[in-house]
Amino acid sequence: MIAAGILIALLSLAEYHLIFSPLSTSNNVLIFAVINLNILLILLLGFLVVRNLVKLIFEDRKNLLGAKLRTKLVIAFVTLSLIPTIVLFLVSFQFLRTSIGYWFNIKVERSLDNALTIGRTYYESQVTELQHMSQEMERRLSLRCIEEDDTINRICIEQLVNPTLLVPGAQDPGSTIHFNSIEVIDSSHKELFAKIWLPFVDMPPSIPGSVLNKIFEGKDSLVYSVSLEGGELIRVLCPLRNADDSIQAVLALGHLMPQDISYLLDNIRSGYEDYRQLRLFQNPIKGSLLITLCLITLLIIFVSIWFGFRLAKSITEPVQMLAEATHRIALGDLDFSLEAKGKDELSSLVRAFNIMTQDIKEARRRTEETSRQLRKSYGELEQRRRYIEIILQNITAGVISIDRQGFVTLMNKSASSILDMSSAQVIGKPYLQLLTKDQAKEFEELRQELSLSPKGTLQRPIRMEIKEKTLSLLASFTILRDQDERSLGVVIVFDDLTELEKIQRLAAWREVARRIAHEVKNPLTPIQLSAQRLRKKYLDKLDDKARVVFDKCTNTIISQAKELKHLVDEFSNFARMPAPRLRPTRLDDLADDVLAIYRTGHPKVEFKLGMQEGLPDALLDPDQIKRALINLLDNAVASMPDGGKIIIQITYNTDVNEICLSVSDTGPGISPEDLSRLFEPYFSKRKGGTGLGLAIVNSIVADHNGRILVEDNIPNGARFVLIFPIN
Amino acid sequence: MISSKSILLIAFLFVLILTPCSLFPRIETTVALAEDRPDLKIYDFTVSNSRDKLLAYFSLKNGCPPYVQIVLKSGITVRYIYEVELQAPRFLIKKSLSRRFILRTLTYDNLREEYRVSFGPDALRVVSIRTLEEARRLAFEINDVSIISLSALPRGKIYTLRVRAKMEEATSFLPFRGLLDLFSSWGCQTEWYEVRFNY
Repeated sequence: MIAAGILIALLSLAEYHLIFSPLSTSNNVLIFAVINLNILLILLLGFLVVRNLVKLIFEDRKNLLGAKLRTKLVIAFVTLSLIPTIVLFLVSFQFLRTSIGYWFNIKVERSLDNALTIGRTYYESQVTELQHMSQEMERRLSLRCIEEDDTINRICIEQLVNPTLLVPGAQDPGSTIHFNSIEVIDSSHKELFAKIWLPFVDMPPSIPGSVLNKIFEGKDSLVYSVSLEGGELIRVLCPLRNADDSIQAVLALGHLMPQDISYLLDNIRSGYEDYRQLRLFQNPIKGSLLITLCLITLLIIFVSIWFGFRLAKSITEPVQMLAEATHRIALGDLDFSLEAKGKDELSSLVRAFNIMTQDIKEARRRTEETSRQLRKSYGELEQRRRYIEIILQNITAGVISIDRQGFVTLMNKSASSILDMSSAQVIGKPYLQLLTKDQAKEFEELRQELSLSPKGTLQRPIRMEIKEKTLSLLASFTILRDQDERSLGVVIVFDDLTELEKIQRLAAWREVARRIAHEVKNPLTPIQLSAQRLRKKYLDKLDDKARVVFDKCTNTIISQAKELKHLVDEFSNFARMPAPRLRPTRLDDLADDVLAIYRTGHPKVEFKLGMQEGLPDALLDPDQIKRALINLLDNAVASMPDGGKIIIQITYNTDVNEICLSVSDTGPGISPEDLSRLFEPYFSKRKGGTGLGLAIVNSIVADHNGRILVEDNIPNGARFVLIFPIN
Repeated sequence: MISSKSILLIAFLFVLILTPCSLFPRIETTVALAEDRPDLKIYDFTVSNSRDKLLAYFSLKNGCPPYVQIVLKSGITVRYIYEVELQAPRFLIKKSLSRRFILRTLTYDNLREEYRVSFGPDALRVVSIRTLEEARRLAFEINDVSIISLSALPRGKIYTLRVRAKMEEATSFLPFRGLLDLFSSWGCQTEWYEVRFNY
C-alpha cells in the first residue's frame, strides 16, 4: 500500500512534466500509458483501502481487541480528511469552470480583434506607403535610366536617387516614411544597383530568386519582409519596364520597421493567436484540468484514507498489544515484554507496562518462593501433625481433648476402642451430652478439682458403665495452656485397666487357691486318715446306737474331707495351670473323642458335632483344650437337667486364619448381668459349682493367644465361641 | 450482518468516487472540429529519373480541410511529413534501399495576413504567400524528390516506391500539451501508396 502510494505520486509527477511539456504526438502514447497505469494504481489503492475497510468491519463484528477503537479512529480521520477535500474539489471545479468562462469573455475577444486590426492597419499603411514610393521611383527610373538598347544606366540611377532619402530621418516630401534600401536586380538575378543603409553591421539577406521570378513573371508588386537584428525590413518589389513595356529589372525598395514597433506588433499577433488557440481548445483544456483535479483529489482521498489507517493502526496497535498482553498476564504468562517504538505517550505506556510486568513477575516469584516455603513448612507441620496423630492413634492409652467451650475436639482410636464409640459420634459434641447424669456429676467434680490443682493435672481411677460393661480406667486430666497461660481446654489421657484388673484378680485368685491348697490340703489327709482310723478302731466297739451315730459322723468327716480335698485339688489345678505345650492338633478329632464320653453318660442330651471340610491342624495343647471343652460341656449339661441339645461346631476362617470352636446349648442361657463376671473365679450360679470352670477355660484360651466370646444361642440357650489362631 | 454504520461508510465511498465521474458528462472533452477528420490521399504519384537519379513526384489531397484552416488562423503551425521509401524485392521481407522524409510546415501570420510555407528538413527555406491556394500548392505538391542514385540501383529488378503523408500539429503555446493531444488529436496519416517499376 505504501509502495502503491509512492508509485502514484511519482507517476503523477512524471505526468505533470509530460503534460506541460510541448512534446510531439509520439509522446501521447507514453502519457496515455502513464495515466492508465496511474488509474490502475489508484484502483489498486482503492482495492487495498476497501479491503482494509472490509477487514476492519469484520474485525469489528468479531469484537477483536482494538477493532472498535481502530474503526472509530479511521472514521474520524477519513471524515476529517474527506470533508475538506471534497469541499475543496467542488469549489475548485466550480472555480475552474467560472475562470475558463471569464477567459473567453466577449469583451476580451473584441479587444484582441481590435488590437489586431490596428496592427494590421499600421502594417498595411507602411506597406502601402512603401508601395507608392516604389511606384514613383519605378516610374522615374523607367523614364530616365533605361537606355534605348534596353540597358540600365547605373550612373543615372545613382544620380536620380536622392541621397538624402538614405539619410536617417530624412523623408521624401509628402511621404511619412523613409526607405533604407534601394536595389535593382536584373532578370538573371544579378544586382545592378544597391544602396543600403541600416543601423547595424549585418547586411540583409538577398531576395530569393523565387520571389524575384514572380515579378519577372508579371506580378505588379510584391512585398517581401525579413526579420533583422534592428527590426523588420519590409521590401516592396516592382518591375522596371522599358519602352515596349517589357520587364528589364526589379526595383526593391526597403524600409526598416523599428524593432520596438515590430515587437509590439508581434505581441499583438501572438496574443491574438494565443487567445484563438485557447478558444479552440477550450473544452479539452477543461477536460484535462478536471481530470487532473479528479486524479489529485482521488489521490489525496486515498492517501488520506491510507494515512488514516496507518495512524489508526499506529495508535491501536500498541493498545491492542497492551490488551493482548494484559490477557496473557491474566492467564499467568509473564515471560514476555512488549516492543516499545518511538518516544510518544503510547511508547511510555508500553514501557511502563513492561516494568509493571517485570514487577509482577518478581512479586510472583517472591510469592511462589514464600508459598513454597509455606508449603514446606506446612508439609513439615502436616508431617508432624500426622506423626502426632499416628502416635495418638497407636498409643494404647485413650486420648480425648475438650476445648474451653466443652466440645470434644479430639478422640483417638484407642479411646474409641476403649469407650466403644466412634469418633464421629463424639467429636464436635459437648462432652456433657455424651455422659450420663451421674457421670456428668462426677466429671463436674473432677473439673472443679482440676481447676484448683496448682499443676493443672489430675489423675484419678474411674469406673464407668459403657454399654452394660464396667470399665476400669485410670484417667489423667491436664489443662492445655498456650504461651500466655490461657486455658485452651482439657486433654484426658486414660488407660483401660479392666483386663489388667481381671488378670490381677485372676493372679490373686490363683495365689489364694495356692495358699488354700497348701494350707487346707495338708490337714485334710490326717483328718481323713484319723476319721478312717477312728472308724476302724472304734466302730465295732460301740453299741448299736452309738455306732450308728459314730458311723454317720465318721462317714461325714471322710466324705466331706474327700469333697474338700476335691475342692482343694480344683483350686490347686487352677493355681498351678501349666504352660501350654503346643503341637499340631486336630480339633475335630479332639471334639469327637470328648463327645463320645458324654454321649454315654448323658442319654437325655443330644450331642451333635458339626465341622467344616478341610480343617487345618492348629498349634494347640490338646490336653488343655480337652479340659476347657469338658468344662464347657459340663456347664452345658448342668444347665439342661431335663435334657436338651448340645452342638459343637468347628469352622475355619481363611481370611484371618483362625479356627473357631463353638459350644451351643439349649439351656436357659446367661443373663446380661452375669456376663461381665462370667469368667471370674468363684463365680458360679450352679449349686455345688466351684466357679472355676469358666475361669480355667478363659485362662487356657488366653494362654493360647485366643479369645472367648459368649453370646445367646438362637432361639434359646448360650453359645461359647473359642477362637484360636492357626499359627 | 453488516452494521448500518458500515453500510453508510461504503455508500459514502461510492458517492465519493461517483461524484467526479458524474461531472465528466458536463464537459465536452473533444474539439468539435476534430470530428471532421480529413480523408488524406496521395495522388499523381509517379516515379521518373534524371540522368543519374531516381525521382519521385506526388501530391497531397484534402490536406487543408476547413478545420485545419481554423487551426492555422489560430496561429498553430501545421506540419506535413512525407515519408518516401524505396524497397527492393526480397524473400518474405522487402529490403529498404532508401528512406527519406520531406517536411512542409504551414503557418498563417494574422498580422500580415499571409501564409508561410517552410521546406525541410535539409535546406530549410521559408516562402510567404498571400493566398491559401498558393500555400497549398507549395505544401502539397512534392516534385523532384531524389530517391537514390541510379548507379546504386541494380538493373533488371522490380522495385517498389511507396509514400505516405502525415499531418500533425507542430507548435502551440497551450498548457497541458500532452493531455490536450489526447482529447483533441486531430492529426492524421494516409495509407502507404505504392508504385512498382521495373528498372
